[in-house]
This record gives sequence, structure tokens and C-alpha cells, in this order.
Amino acid sequence: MPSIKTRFTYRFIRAVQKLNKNRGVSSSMKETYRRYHMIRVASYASMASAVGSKRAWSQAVLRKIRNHTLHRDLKKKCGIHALIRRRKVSENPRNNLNFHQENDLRKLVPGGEDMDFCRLLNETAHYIKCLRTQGLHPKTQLLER
Amino acid sequence: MQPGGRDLEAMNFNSLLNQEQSLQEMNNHQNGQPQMSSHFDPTSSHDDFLDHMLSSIPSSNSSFNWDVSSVAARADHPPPSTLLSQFDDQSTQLVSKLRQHQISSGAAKALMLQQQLLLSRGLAGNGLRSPSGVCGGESGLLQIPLSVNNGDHADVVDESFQSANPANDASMQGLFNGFAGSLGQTTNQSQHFHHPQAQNFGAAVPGMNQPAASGSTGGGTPAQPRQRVRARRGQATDPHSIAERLRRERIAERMKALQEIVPNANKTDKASMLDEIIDYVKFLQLQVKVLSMSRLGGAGAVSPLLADMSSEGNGTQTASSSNNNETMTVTENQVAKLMEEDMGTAMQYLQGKGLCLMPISLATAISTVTCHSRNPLAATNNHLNSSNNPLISGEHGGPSSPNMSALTVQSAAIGGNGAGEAFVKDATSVSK
Repeated sequence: MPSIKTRFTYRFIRAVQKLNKNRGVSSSMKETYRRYHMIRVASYASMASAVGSKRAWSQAVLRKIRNHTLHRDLKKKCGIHALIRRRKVSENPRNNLNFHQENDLRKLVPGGEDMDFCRLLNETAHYIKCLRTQGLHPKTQLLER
Repeated sequence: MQPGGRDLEAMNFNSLLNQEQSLQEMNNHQNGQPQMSSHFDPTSSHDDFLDHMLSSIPSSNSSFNWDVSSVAARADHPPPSTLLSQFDDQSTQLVSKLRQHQISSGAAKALMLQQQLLLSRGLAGNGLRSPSGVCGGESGLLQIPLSVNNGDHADVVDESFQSANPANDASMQGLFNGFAGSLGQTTNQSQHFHHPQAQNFGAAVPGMNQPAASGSTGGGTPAQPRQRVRARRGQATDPHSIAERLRRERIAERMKALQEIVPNANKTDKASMLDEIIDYVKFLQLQVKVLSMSRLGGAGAVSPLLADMSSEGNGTQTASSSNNNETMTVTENQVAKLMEEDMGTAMQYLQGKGLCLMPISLATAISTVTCHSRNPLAATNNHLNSSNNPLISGEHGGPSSPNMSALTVQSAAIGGNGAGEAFVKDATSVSK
């Protein structure tokens, strides 16, 4: 059973190769930026698909990517999940002195809006582990031409 | 009235016995389970339980202020109410009798004193009247504890319950008979005692539990005497507090796990720990951005992006790509020259520019991406390999301050930061 690292690296390389193949000649700022963006998305997507749907954050990442390609992100502020979470939070009155940080963390971790704090911490731990993998393994010899 | 009273008395006594038995079973099976609020275990042999019960009684009747320690001495003092004067002799006799008999089970004392207090309470409330009046008063009292018990009950003392006395029934029976015997001394008053005792036996018990429970879980009213036994810290058995406690424990667990993952996690404070975590996640995400930029093709393409991203953080605009390209080349040459002489100066030069070196794996990846035409020198690579790893641009020991930006090509502000995380695109691929 190949590890997450291996799976991620594999997918990422393939994604970037595909991107590079279709690369136009123009090196305008816009084009470059778009390409950079695609590569970054490819990185996250390969990581998330390597993790699979086991984790809430990976599900959220994949969902966001798919939605993004179809249409622009709808602001989730009024979503039903945000409402549920806000209600849950208000139900625990002595809940948090760390409300501010908790909020920030929710924004950072994909899919963090809809879960309770305990689960959020869990997801954060796994997310951090995978982010490190993403950063540490460009042993990928990416073929430029 | 009397036959009815007798039946009532027997019934209540039986119910009380049943309660005890079930309570014993529960005690034997589950220690400390929070189901005991509606049951009463009078058979505990702990004196603190006795104190607890006695101290909880006055909570439902504020007119009296019983001090637990002076219960025995109460006989010596005149009662607060003159109505008690008639029964004071009785109570003193009972107290002395108990002390003489030295009843092993503390519940014996508890029951007796409880009964006494209830009596006196009823009498003080209703005045001393005919037996029917007393009974009426007692039945009035009977209703109060029953209704009071419907509220939410946190648990009463649990550790004092744990040593349940198996020989309770016999002692209870004997105690009851002893009551009857001692109460029978005054002929005209024995009936009074019997009735209220019977009526209140089962009812007052749960009634006592509730104020006791509320006293033990909350802070208790200020009027409570001091020797009340509180539920042990961390063992409050209110389902809400249990759930809260579980939740807090789980959160602490997760925080500990995160502490191991995140560097610089020696903070004990939860808030600062969360701050560290947040900054670390931001740093990692930024790193992904940087690396994905490094995978873009073309040497000239990256610098404008770098400039752009640093301008996100710093708000400074930079020159066009061509200028940057030339600057980079110049820097590279300079660094290469310095590296031949002395690694230290080379490093200083780089750091002065806000640049640093990359680990070899990243370097080769970038070099193949960006510098297709150049061959990385093995020698320089080795140099870099040996000296880079402490300076690894990954996150291990990297970010001394988590708030730095990864792109410090243009910004001099971060020049002071020793482990500046910007990467030098072509530094590792200098060919000479």
C-alpha cells in the first residue's frame, strides 16, 4: 500500500506534466499567474485525492475545486452549515476564551467551518502533516520542456 | 387515625427498606454512578454523611439554624422555639440514648435526628395542637419534600455511599423498634411521634437529598453549615458537567497531539498554542505557494511573481521582469565567486540580500525547472548539501518567527532574520 507521500508525488508530477504540456508560449503576467495558480491547485488536489475522502478537509478541498471549476465560489456565510455551527457555539456558553483563534483556524483549514472545535483540532493535525508532505517532496524532477 | 397511621408507617418503612436494598445493589455494581439522587442510603457508616444529612435539612426551613457539631449539645441549650420545649426532653433523651447504645451504623443517628428535626420543624411551623393538627402539619411537610425532589438532582456524596453495610436491614429494624420503644415513654405523645415519623420517613428522605444535592454541586447557600460534604472534584455527576468534562479532555488530548507536530510548541497557554498552530498552517500554505511558483517554467517568469507576492505582504511594487533577471544573474555570479573563497561570506552575502540556500532536493528540482541550460556543479552541490541542511527551507526548525514571509527577494525588512526563507532560484546551479 503506497504511502500518502508516494501517491501525492505521483499525482502531482502527472498534473504538472499535463500543465506544462499545454503551456502556451506567452509569458504574460496574467498567463504566468494563472499557471502558477493551476500548479498550486494541482498540488492541493493531488494531496487531497491522495488522502481520499477519509478526512473532512480533503473532502472540502476536492469539493471546493470542483465547485470552483464550475462556477465561482458562493460565499458560505449564509450556508446552512455555518448557521448550525453558530448555533452550536452559542449553545455552549462557557465555551471559548479562544474564540478568535478558533475562527481563524476554521478559515485556514479547509472544511473547518462546519465542524466542532474538537474535530477541528483533529483535522488540523492531519492537515498539517499533509501540508508538510507537500512541501518536502519535490524530489520530483519536473520536466520543463 | 391510628390504624391508618400504622399502615402508613409500615408501608413507608418497607419502601424505605426497598430503597436501601436497591441502593446497596447499585452500590455494589456501580460505584459512583449518578443515579442515586432519588434514593437514600441511610446505612452509611460515615459520620460525614451524617453531618451532610443533618446540615441539609435546614435548607428547606430557614427558620432553624442547626449546627451539626452541636447536635448532641443541643439538648443542653434551650431550643430556638418555645414550641420545642415539650419535645426537648424527648430529644435529649433520644440523643443520650443513642450515645449510650453506641449504634454502629451512623444511619441510626441520622434517622433519629432527622426525625427529631422534622418533628420540631413541623411543630414550629404549625404550633402545637391536637394530634390531628400535628398530623395535618406533618402531612403538609410531607408534601413539600416530595415536590422539591422533582428538580434536577446532582448527586449527593458518593464516596460515603460506597461502603454499604450489608447488615442494614436488621439494624434498621432494630433501630425502628428502638425508636418505638424510646418514643413510647411519653404516652400521650407517642402517637404524635409515630405518625409524623411514619409519614415523613420515606418522604423526608428524598426531600433531604435534594437540598443536599444542590448544596454539594453548587456553591451552596451561605446559610449552609460548613461541614457539608461536597461531591468530589472532577466527579460531579450532572450529565451536563460530565459531557463538558469529556469534551474538555478530548480537546486537551488533541492539543497535546498538535503540540508535538507544530514546532515552537512549548507554550503552556492554550491561546498562544492556538496562535502557533495558526501561524504554522499559514506558513505551510505559503510554502506550497512558493513551491508551486518554483515549478513554473522560465527563469524570467518567476521573479515578477515573487515581486508580486512580496508586494502582497509589503505593498511595494517592483521593476519589470527584465531588470530582475539581470539582478539575479549578477547576484548569482557574486555568490558563486564568494563561495569559492569562503562559504561564510557567501552566506552573509546571501543573507544580506534576504536570500538563503535551499536543500539539495529542492534545489535540483528548481534548477531543472528553471535552468535547463545550466548544469549544476557537483562540487557546489556538495557544498550546499552539507551546509544547507541546517538551513533547510522546510519547516523543521525553520521559521524562527512564524510571521515571516517566504518571499524576501525584494524586501530588506526581513534581512535581519537569520533564517530568511526566500529561495534563490539559481544559486545552486551556478556553473563555473
